Amino acid sequence: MRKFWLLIVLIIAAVATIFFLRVGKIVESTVKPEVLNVTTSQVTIAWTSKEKYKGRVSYMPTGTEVPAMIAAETFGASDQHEVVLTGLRASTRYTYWIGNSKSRYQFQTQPAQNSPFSFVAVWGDVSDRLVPLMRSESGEFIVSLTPAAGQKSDWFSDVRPYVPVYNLSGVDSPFLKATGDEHQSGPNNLWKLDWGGLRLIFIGSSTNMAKVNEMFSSPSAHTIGIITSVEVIGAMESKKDAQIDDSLGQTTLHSIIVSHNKQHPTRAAAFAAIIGNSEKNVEIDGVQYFGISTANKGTRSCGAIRVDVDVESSRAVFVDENREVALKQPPLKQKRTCEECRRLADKGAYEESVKAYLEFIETHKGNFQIDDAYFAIAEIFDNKLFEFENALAWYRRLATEYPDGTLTSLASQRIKYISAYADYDYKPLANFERIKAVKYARKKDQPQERDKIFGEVKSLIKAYPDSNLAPVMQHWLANQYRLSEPDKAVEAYMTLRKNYRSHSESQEAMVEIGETYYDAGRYKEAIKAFNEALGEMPGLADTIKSQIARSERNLRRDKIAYVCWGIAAIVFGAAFIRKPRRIGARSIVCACAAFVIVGAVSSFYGWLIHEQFNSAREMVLIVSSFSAIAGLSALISMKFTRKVNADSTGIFSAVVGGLAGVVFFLAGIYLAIYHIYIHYLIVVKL
Amino acid sequence: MKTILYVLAFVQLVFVSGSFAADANATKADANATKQAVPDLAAVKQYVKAVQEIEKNRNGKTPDWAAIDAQYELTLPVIKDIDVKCKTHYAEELRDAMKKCASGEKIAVNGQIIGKGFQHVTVLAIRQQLDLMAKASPAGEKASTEQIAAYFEVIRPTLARRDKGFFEGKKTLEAAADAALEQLSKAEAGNLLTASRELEDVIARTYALSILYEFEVIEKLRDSDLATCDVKRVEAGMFYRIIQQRIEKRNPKTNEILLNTINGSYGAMNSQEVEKYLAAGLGIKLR
Repeated sequence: MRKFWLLIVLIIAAVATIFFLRVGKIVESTVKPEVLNVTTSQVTIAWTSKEKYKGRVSYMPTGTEVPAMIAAETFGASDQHEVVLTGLRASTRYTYWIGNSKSRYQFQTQPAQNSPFSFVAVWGDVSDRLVPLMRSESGEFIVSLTPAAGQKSDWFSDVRPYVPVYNLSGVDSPFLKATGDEHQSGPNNLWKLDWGGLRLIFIGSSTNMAKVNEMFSSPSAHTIGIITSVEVIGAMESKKDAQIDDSLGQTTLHSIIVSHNKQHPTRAAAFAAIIGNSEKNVEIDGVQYFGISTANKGTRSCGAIRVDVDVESSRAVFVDENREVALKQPPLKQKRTCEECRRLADKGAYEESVKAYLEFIETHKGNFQIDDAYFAIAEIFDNKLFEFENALAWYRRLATEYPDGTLTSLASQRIKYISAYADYDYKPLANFERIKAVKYARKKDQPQERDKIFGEVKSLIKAYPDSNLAPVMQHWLANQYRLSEPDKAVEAYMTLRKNYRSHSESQEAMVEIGETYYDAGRYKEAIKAFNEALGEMPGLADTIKSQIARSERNLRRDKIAYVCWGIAAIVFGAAFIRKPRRIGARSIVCACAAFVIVGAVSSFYGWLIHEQFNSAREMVLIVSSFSAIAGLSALISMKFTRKVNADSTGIFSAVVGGLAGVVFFLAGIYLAIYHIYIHYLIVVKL
Repeated sequence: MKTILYVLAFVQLVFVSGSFAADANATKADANATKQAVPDLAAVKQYVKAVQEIEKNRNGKTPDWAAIDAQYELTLPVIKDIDVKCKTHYAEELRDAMKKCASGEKIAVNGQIIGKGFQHVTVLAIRQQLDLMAKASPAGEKASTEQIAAYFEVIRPTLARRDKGFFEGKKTLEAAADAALEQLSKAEAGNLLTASRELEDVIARTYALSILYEFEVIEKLRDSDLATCDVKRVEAGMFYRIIQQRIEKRNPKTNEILLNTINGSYGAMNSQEVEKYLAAGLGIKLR
């Protein structure tokens, strides 16, 4: 009985081992997934496998450290896998992997309706260009303009795990083809693709025009585009093919587009890409027709276009040709707002410039650059005329009328700033800004004038001590003093702390006092101030502690330098001032030998580590000062030996002489480094 | 008279042949410049070492501009290659900035043009190699990976600085970059895009944070030290050049807002807003 149970256990263990080995093998096997059915909140990952198992996909937003989410197939084991990932965020890139595979892939969800995006249209065998193309052009999907039948192999296999691929007749997917679930284009080879705010209509063959008309109907699209070919347009007109020129205005397709655009001007069809042999583009009744030549050009048999789609404008960029076609543009195309207005402002005629801008606004109503003019007027009132009430009014007008404008963010910042200091009828603000922007900017380099300006700021603070701007002015004053007069700066910071303790401007005043002392080389006072700041601001402990450490280190270096100067002076004095003063020929030879030897050794070593020096000049300076100190040390050593030898034994005198030389040498080396480039002392941990 | 004519004819002949020779030389030089071989690993390593030397010398107390100029010559093969492929003008721009620095003209600003210019060239060179990898043989892929790793050493100090400033010294960006480089060395055709995109993301994140850092300094100093603010604005602008292409393609409006902000008045600069726009423009979270 016991043997029987043992046998059962062994069989179960064997089966489990085989099962896990199989699963492991399956999961480890390399599969190339495809991204399908991308929407703003869900994506399908599909792949086929040799073995049957239940597919599992792990995924997470790219660049985040959140734990990966896992989605699995709903049905049982299969060799054709489709895993739907739901609950995704729009316009977000996700990283995913299959099972336990180490191969990571990425997909991006569709953008929200009004968000800009790009897609890439390609033709010919682009297989070896697709990866760089997708990396550099950031296309969210690919449209293959070459019919699937014309492809000898799967050109898109490397990018299918990242982006969906479409062709003229629908979704281009080997998986759907293999499963027999291939997207069939609508009747008459007509189908549509909705992506963000774009509706792309594909007309693959001569078709029933009523069906085309239906395709234009989209309540959510802000941009409608068409992809078709010269043959299709020609066939619609019972011709062999069409030409991309003004004659397109006579075609049935054009009349349908124009009729739709008249009825729905806000959802107008903007462009039609026409595949053929021509690269011309022509605009007829606001519709941009542009040709894509898929024919071989010299050595080039393939090509790519990136199409950028946005609410206001769209463009097609021919990647290889540095050519660009505007597909949809705002109503007016003026490059800059009112050149004359700018010129007047540049020469200082601010009032006239404002008048010119007002006239420009009046005469160019509806111009998409009116927001530029609003901002320019606001800036003149703000920075040149210091009329903040007017500035605020214009900034607010810009923010209200153009909430999505490109200058609105800047205007909002100024509204916040001016509103915060609007007390006393803007008087402190106007005076302070005028002092800063006009007087101080011009005269800050003249000490006497600078003092006068600081005096004016002090009077301003005195006149409006409880204004919202007073602490800001006091802080500014302290910061200016810091550059030239550290004591006055400290005094100003202390006043800031005393009078405006609770204000945000004074919160770091103690650290700034410490930094002022540090910059002035007064490290003891700096340490004291930093320690006080440490007690007040534990949140900045790391920064303040490192400042204290730096101050202590510099203090230590200064002290060592004083000691070294003292030692060098004593040793030098003892050697040369005390009698006998005569220097023998042998001493001079020794000193020269030391100079040459140390010079040669340090030059060689310096050459080996030359990249460590800031400049060649600095290296030469260090090497020559080391050599000179070595020569002098040798001389001192000889002098000491002689002097001591007069009263003592030879060995003792040699030791004393040697020690004196070494002490002088070390002190001299420290002083040389201290004065040439103090930071090299880090090498000896000083 | 005849002799004079002969002499004149001879002189003419000398001039004509001289100008032909000069023209031929110029054409040859142009051809050499265009034909200039794609830099190999040795050239890349030489470029990296020279840039590191230039930066060390430039940031020292007393820069030696003659030595910098000599090192700059060594970087030229890579810079010229990038200028041709990416339609930039860094060879001229950098030389011009160096001349200005050497003659003491706006050293702080021109110094930043040099430093950030080299970083942009390096990032462009990395992107070139990423492009090459996709169509390369396994041996070519290996060579590209090695070159990318070498180029990366030029920009690594920036990653380290941003790690220190924004991630409390944790090696967040450096670790992400090293992981991406490792992944790149093991990537196959199927997942090459993931590895290269991850590397691009780290680079974009680093330079976006660099812009943010400059804005934070400007916010702090705009009432006290306008000269430093001017330098910081130039730095922010140079950093923005490195990531501008991606933002411009993804979101032209955000690009315009960021350009307006960088070139706008110091009083209207707000680092929180800039962070929001940079993240939206690049489509990644910065921190």
